Amino acid sequence: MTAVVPEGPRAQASGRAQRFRDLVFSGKLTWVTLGAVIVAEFVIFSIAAPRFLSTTNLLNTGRATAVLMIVATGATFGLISGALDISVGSVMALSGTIGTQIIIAGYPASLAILAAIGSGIGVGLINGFVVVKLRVNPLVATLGMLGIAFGLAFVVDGGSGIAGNLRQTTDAAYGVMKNDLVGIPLPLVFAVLFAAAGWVLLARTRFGLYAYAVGGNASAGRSVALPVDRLRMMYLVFSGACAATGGYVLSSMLGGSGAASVPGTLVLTVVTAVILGGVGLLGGTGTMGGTILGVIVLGVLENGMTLAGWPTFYQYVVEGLLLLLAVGLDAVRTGGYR
Amino acid sequence: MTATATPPDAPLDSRAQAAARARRILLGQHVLLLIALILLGTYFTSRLDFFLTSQNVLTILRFSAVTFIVATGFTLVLIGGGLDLSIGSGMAVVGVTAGKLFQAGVPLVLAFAIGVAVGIAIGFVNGFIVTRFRINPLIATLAMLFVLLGVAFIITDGRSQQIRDDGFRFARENVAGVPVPVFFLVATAVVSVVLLHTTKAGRHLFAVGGNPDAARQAAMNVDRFRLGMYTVAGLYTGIAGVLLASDLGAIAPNSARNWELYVATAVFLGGASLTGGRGSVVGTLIGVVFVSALDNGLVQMAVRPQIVLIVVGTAMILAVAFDQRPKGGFR
Repeated sequence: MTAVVPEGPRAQASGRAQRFRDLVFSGKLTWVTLGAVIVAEFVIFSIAAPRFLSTTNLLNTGRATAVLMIVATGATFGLISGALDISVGSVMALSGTIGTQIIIAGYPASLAILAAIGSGIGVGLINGFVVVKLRVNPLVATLGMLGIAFGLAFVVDGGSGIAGNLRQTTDAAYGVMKNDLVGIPLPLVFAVLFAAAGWVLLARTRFGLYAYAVGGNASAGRSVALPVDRLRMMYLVFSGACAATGGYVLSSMLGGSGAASVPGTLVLTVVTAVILGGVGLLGGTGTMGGTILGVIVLGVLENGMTLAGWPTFYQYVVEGLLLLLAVGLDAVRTGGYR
Repeated sequence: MTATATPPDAPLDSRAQAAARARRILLGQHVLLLIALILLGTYFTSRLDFFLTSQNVLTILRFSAVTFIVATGFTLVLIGGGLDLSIGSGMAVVGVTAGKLFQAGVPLVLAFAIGVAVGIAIGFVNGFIVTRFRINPLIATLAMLFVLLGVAFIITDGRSQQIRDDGFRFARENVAGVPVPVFFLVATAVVSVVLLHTTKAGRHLFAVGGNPDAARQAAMNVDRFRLGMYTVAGLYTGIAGVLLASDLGAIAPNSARNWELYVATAVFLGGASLTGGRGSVVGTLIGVVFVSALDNGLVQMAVRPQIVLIVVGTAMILAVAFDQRPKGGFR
């Protein structure tokens, strides 16, 4: 964090102001900026809402943010590999609905969980097929899948719409995420492990390394004999699987869910978290650490604003402005969109 | 620019040339989509007695109007190499602004005019963010989607309200048996075709979207052009937002939801491309009517609306796949 490498033509310039500019606009600063935002959030909310800084509330925040963390892990891989997967919200709805319906039909929880996560893998395979074989831009492919998977979720849940989330299951094994582990909410424990595994996978394995290669420069990847198409498919499958896992965790926390249990803006929150965390929109850049910070920023924001009694819709505005700020800094650094 | 636009074998008969050009603009690449629309219509007509009546066709057009107007703005931005995801939220802000003003006693016409002006302002802000801060339009307008959604809820304090006033609900009226939104649809289509295909700005839009670097080398001010493009798209958002509010007869901040999928489907069906430089008003019109007819027919066949979503999503993916196949597609 200390050695900031100045980039571009500014590197030659000297002086304190110039060095400050370099610091502000260098990539590493994403982490510092996000850290500062998190600290600011803690300061503001502990003043605005006295209960904010209690252990109970912080654990609640963790519980509520767990699903976002899990889904954002997959989205990080997707976006680094150059695919902005916007079908994740619908995949969550589909996964939770399938799991719930299987429990209702009287099958064991293990089967329900497998089927729920399997649905995400299936959706990811189809997304991958559309991108790799039909050569459709991932944004368009997953936008189509957003509609398809959401529609399917309604079909699976009997078309009951909002009634979907009223069908509670009482199965203890499926609803395991309602519980705590030594006082810590199980979803939080799971999300932390999940994010840590994602970090290792991205930073320490070939699977992660190739994501940067495919997203950064696909044709260069091809010329060194990387199976670019198969890799792209794998990252979309991974993204779908993570989304489905998040869908299951949400469903489990709710004790069963339906198509309407996932808020429509969730996909936007996921994208915001990942991009806040410094994953470039064009692929090839980003880290799990950044994504984790991005998720924390949004999770704390949501909890703090709710606790301070501010209507949730102010959160949309703040979230949007944060996104603009983060990407604006990135644009200044890289020269931006032309 | 004019020299390159003239075909090398300019025919002597200018009327034949104009006719050929009109045909290209009106049909061009949309023959397949038209055939699909006709097949769809034939299928529904064979299954439903009511489908091909003038009443139902007008209903389909009526429900196409808002989508078409906002989709046309979306098309213009796509042609120019941009993207606007904030359309739904923008329409909501426009609608609730007009509704709130009207409720507060502002004269009807002025309330609607301010609503449209708010739409233009939103478009300008989008363009400003994209050109000045150099933020990728996908992210810039995604962020704006959030901000505007929040603003719409803040203006209304999160509540929906009916406005029981026939003037405000002008979009529910009929003139000579034709629903008012249909007139808006036709007017928008005509004006937009003229703007896009006969003016210099329209031709430049294709140039800027198709190859911004080349356009810069041809001494075009690409940024100013893009700013104008987003502002014009904002005008479309404004008109669509006012029309939607009037049709709903309500202040409804949650009317913003899910427009993106339908609009994007219609526009991509109509042959526009994510990479810029391609698209047409007529294609978008056929695309919108296709999606509306699909919706209308399936709902009448008592198919659940969620299944319509599945069909629409599949249609969009196939349309884009089919369209991009000859060009190599996404690599």
